[in-house]
Amino acid sequence: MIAAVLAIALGALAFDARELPGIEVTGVRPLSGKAITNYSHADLDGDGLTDILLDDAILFQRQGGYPAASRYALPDAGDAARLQAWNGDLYLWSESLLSRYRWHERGWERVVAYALPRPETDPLPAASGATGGRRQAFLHDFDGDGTPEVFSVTPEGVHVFARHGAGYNEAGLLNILPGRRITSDAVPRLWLPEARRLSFPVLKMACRLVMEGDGITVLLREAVDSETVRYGRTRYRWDGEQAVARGTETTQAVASYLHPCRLNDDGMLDLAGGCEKTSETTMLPLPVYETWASLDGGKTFHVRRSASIPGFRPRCAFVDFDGDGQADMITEETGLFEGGAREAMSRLLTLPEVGHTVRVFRQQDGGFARQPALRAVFVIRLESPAAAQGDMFSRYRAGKLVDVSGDFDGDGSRDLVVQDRIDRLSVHLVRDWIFRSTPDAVLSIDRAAQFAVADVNDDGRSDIVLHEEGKMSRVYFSREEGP
Amino acid sequence: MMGRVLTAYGVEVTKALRQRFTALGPALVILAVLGALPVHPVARDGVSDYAFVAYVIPVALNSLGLLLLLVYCAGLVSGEVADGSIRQTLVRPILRHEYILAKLLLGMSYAVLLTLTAVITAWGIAYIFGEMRGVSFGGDLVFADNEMLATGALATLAGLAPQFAAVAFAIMVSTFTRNGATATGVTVGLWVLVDLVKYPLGMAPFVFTTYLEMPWQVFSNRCEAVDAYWQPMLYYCLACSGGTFLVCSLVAIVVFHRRNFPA
Repeated sequence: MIAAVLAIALGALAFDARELPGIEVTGVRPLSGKAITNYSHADLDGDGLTDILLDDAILFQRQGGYPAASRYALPDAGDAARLQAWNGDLYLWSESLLSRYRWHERGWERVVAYALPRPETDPLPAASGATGGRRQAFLHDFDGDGTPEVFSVTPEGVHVFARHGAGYNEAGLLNILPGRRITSDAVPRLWLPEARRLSFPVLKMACRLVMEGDGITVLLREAVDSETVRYGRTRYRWDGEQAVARGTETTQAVASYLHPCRLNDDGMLDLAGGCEKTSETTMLPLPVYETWASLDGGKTFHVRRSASIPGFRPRCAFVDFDGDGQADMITEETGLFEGGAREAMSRLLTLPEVGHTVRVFRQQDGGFARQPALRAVFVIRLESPAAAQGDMFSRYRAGKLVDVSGDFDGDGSRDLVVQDRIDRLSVHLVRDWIFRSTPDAVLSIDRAAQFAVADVNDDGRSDIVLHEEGKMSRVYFSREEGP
Repeated sequence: MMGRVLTAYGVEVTKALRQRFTALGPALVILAVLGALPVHPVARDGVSDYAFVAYVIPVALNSLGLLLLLVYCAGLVSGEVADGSIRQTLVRPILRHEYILAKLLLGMSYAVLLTLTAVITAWGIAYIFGEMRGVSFGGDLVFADNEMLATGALATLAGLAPQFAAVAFAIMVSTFTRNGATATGVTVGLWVLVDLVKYPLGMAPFVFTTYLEMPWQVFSNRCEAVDAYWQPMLYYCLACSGGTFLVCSLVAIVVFHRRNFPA
């Protein structure tokens, strides 16, 4: 199973390729740069090394890898059971029982079980996947006593169960969720007779819950009109019985493509997003991609514009590039339309490659620098001219060929990885804001493979995960030295 | 030598002023600028109209203007060869390379004329009927009016470099041929052919036509508040255009030196 060590070491960077069945990294969150994975990290065997918790199995880390022999099934608690790791133990919450398991030698040992029925309206875990699946959180230590409380989000509110004596009891139903609203506005048809239907109104409620320390934050999106929205953030503190509101803040009405996020630690609600506009200065209706950010709840905005292609979305628009705790703005620009309409047409019809520029604007002094701190230019081979709409161009347009979220040398500064050939990945390390056009490592990959970046083994160095339909995921673990 | 070149240049300018085509070029450029108004209206609506300038100059100057320039310069030598007036010119006290230099100066003057016509007309319309108050975006003034003026001026100057290369290229072709129609056909045909194959053959960075609109691209990008930089494009543009100009001029002089013009 373990592939032969593939090491392509140029300088201090090398990669070991291992096949890890079941691992999926489907991308990165565009406003934070965090990988979207179908697993969680936890140290469940107490050896100080990070293990990988999947929906149905645990992969223990052994000697820097995850060999097949270290893969074990999880305790059976039914498909509907939620699971979460907490302080080295595995909690499973089935429909009626909350169980705590601990790994001993070569098997799971149930430490304790509590009779704790899940609320009837608690939705079943979603199918296994990168959206959380069974691993959706249900434990949080609100009171800071080291023992987690259990919570369940239902349409009625947030049920909180606290440990009292030998069991868990419901400590409160926090009525902090917004009310449901009718979303279906279908007008009943009276004619033709066979088209007459009785349609029941559809009620919907959507909000985001964030639990930190003793607090719960409810983030609500409210449509102002068809193009603008307003976000409200209400913070609550759980006092042991109920949620006490700490305060509410509301953003200005902002464009609907802006989403709430955390771009720094100033406590204010940040907004970021992007949209495509059309250029007014050229004969061809060329798209311009706008990256927007507000660090003060929508009062002022920082906008950077870049030449784009229709439908292009950068993989990641905000990431803490330099490790200073503040998210920096990333823009990506295509060189396909450089040099005017005539040159663009020539290039579209005859050139099987495209120039691509990544710019990083540092967040500093309460805003984003006007000039980019980093400008990286790549040439990506498309196999065929862009007008032929080949596979590589489709991937390029989908923003799948460039990733800026990884830190492969673990220096705290993000590095860049580019699929600049259909069968090649180039890794460019960035040190002190200096980008070198010569790659620090080159990986040969299958033509059908698509890559993602995540720190799979949690060693502080990002790894590259390759997915190919019908094949097992292959992880290229980054390490310091060549073989 | 310079005195004789300048005298010959003066004679060439006098001849050019008598030709209808000389006036036709700027007239067509003005029409192209005016023709863009329905597509891209200019108004005093609180929005800066640099976008009109950025839109219309590449159309008027780098597409139509370049074609006019190539056609004009392709006929400068071959036309005189075709009607035999070259023999009358060469019996005068002027060396052949001085004659070619005078033709080059005339072609470059025509390029400047077309450029100034397009730029002055476009900016004039934008200033008179529109507004030029800098480029603002997201509530910020990204580029002030004087910065845009400076960018436009630099784009105008830098844009002349590839046009001068085009002049030398057309005159070089003109020295190869015996009549104006052939010279025009070969010049325009080569331009189209080179533009078609330069990317597949990987020689685009070394062909001057690649840089025809590049300087105005910076202006255009700044109109859109898109980040744009002069370096390293400007260096490539000047180096490639300068190299082409020198090579084509030298080839033109050498070929013209070796040619016989029998009656």
